[in-house]
Amino acid sequence: MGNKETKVGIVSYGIYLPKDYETAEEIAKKSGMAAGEITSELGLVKKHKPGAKDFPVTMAVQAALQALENSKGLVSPDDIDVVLWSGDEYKDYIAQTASIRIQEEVKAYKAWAFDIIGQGVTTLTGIRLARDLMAGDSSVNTVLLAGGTRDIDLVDYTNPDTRWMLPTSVSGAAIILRRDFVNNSIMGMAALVDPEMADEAYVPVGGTVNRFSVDNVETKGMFFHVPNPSLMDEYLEERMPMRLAEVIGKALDNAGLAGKKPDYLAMRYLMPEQRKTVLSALEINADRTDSLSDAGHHGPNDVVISLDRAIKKGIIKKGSVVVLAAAGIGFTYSAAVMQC
Amino acid sequence: MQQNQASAGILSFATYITRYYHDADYIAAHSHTPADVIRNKIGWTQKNVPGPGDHTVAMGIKAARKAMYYAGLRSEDIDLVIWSGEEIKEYRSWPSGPKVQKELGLKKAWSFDMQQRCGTTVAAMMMARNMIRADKSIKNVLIATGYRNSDLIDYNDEAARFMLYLAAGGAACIVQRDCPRNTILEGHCISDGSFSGDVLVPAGGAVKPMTKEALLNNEYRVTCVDQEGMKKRLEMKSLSNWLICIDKALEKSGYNRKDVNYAAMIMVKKSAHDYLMNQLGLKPEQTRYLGEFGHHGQNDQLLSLEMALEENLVKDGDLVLMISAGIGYAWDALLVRWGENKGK
Repeated sequence: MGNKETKVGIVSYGIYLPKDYETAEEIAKKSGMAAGEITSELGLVKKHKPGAKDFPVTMAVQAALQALENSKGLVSPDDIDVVLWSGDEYKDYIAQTASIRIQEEVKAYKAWAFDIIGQGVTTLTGIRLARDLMAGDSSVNTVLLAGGTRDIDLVDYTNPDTRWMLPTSVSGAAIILRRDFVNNSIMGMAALVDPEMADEAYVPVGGTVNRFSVDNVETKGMFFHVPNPSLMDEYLEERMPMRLAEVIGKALDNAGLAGKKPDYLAMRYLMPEQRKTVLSALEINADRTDSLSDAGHHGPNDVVISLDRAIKKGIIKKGSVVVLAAAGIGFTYSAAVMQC
Repeated sequence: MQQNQASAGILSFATYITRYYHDADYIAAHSHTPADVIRNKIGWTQKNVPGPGDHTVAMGIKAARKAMYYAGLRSEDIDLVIWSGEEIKEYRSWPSGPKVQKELGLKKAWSFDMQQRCGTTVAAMMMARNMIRADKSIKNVLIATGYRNSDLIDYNDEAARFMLYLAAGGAACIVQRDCPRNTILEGHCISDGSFSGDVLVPAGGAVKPMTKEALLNNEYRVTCVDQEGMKKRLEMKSLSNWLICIDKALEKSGYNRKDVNYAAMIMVKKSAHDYLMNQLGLKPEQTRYLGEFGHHGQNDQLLSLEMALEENLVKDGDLVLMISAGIGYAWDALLVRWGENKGK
């Protein structure tokens, strides 16, 4: 697709996961759900929980340092031309330009930087922007994506309307992409948005509509709010998995691999019913993906965590076709096809 | 240097200006800074503040509707929306691109939000141009921005004196593949994270959640942690980094400083504005100080361009230089060949 001359590949990646876990039993106790329901309906056995210093940008820095180390000398900090924040909107500070903080922490002094702001899909948006920066600007050869997520701070465990967010977990992830890197080549990408869902999930307090005040800061308004819970349930159950399957299909089309079954699908965390719908729509076997049931949902980092698991298990080999696929509040969908 | 690459230009643009102001006298009465210092030493007279309904994304949408009208495009012509406005918006953890799509009926588009503080719109124009070069499926990109960080300024905070002019407003533009006019040339960005801890909102993020106590401690405001240190470090670097960005953007586009006809400059204090314009050899009528608007964040370059058209400061064929910077800290410069695209 697009500019045929510009080939971009993933050189390395890094992941930071907190050591501690929260189990389905513990979540059950806090949420009022049965532990069995958390496993059967939400698909969760356990998830990571943040340690005292596990903040989004801080974790992303750890992952970025890992990615540099994992490049095995191929990428030094001075080689990085652009740093992109690919984490969630909720960061260490309000309105913090996280990418420039990360640039400083990893000593990428020659880079310039900006943040991608969004929910759940920003790693894939980052891969796309990295490719497009390299295609459009000959001075950009190496891009670092780094993101952290800790949206769990924004989930009220007792709110039945946001039960689907209970798997939300905590981590940092980073990817280094390079022009003309022959392995892990990005073949095609696609993105979809359902704008009619734009107002269906958000954190009410702390924006310009309800500015932080002594009357609202210690209320439920500090957590994710779903104004139309039945509409959301229907959307999550029916439309979301179909849109995810659609964006995966489009990315394969754009990669020139229409109808091809990927060797591995590095997909965001989904509830078991949603997963089943996506996999059957694409006719992909469950062993070609990972449920992340013992890790939880890490927003934009899910795709990196899933990829790492498959590489470690030996599912992904040289030449494998891997699809990375994500979705998040917005609702937005994104997928990228990679040839390993 | 980017031969055989697709061309892109600004098809249309618009701003949204709020109907409410704080003037120097009002701000003086609510701060430790006398009106005379605001007017004569810092150099501005008043700034826009939000009125009822003037929320961040809502203002960007108002400007975007006008930009769509001026462009004469149909909603289905937009392939991509880039939100380049502030992330302090109506709600938290709420992507803005889909909201812009929803309100404008842009059902065929996709969207993402980007953020480099007050440098974002210039960076977004560069990004849009690069995406058009990279991807044949992208023809029309709507960039929308809104800004109301005036909310975060505590007039009583001495450390925020250099930010008293933070204002509110919206802006938007449409970047089009093979646009018949206003061709986007090359740009250059620098960022330096040694300033990344200087200016921040102390509470409300993951490090320090917002509580009643934090509010009572006045930790919901943008402040400068190391005012003296930042001033020393920034003054040395800021003007020189801007000049590096400008010279590199000119060099990449095949021009020199003397070729610049108009500078669409971010709002800074008047003395810094004048100093930079002098360094570039620009006369007062080749730029526009936004002293009766205040700092509209990442909207400033489009606001300056609008003033330039109103006041006949820019003509067809002129080389327009957009200059921005963002807390954190980033510097950006981008060149646009204004008027009909005659090829180069």
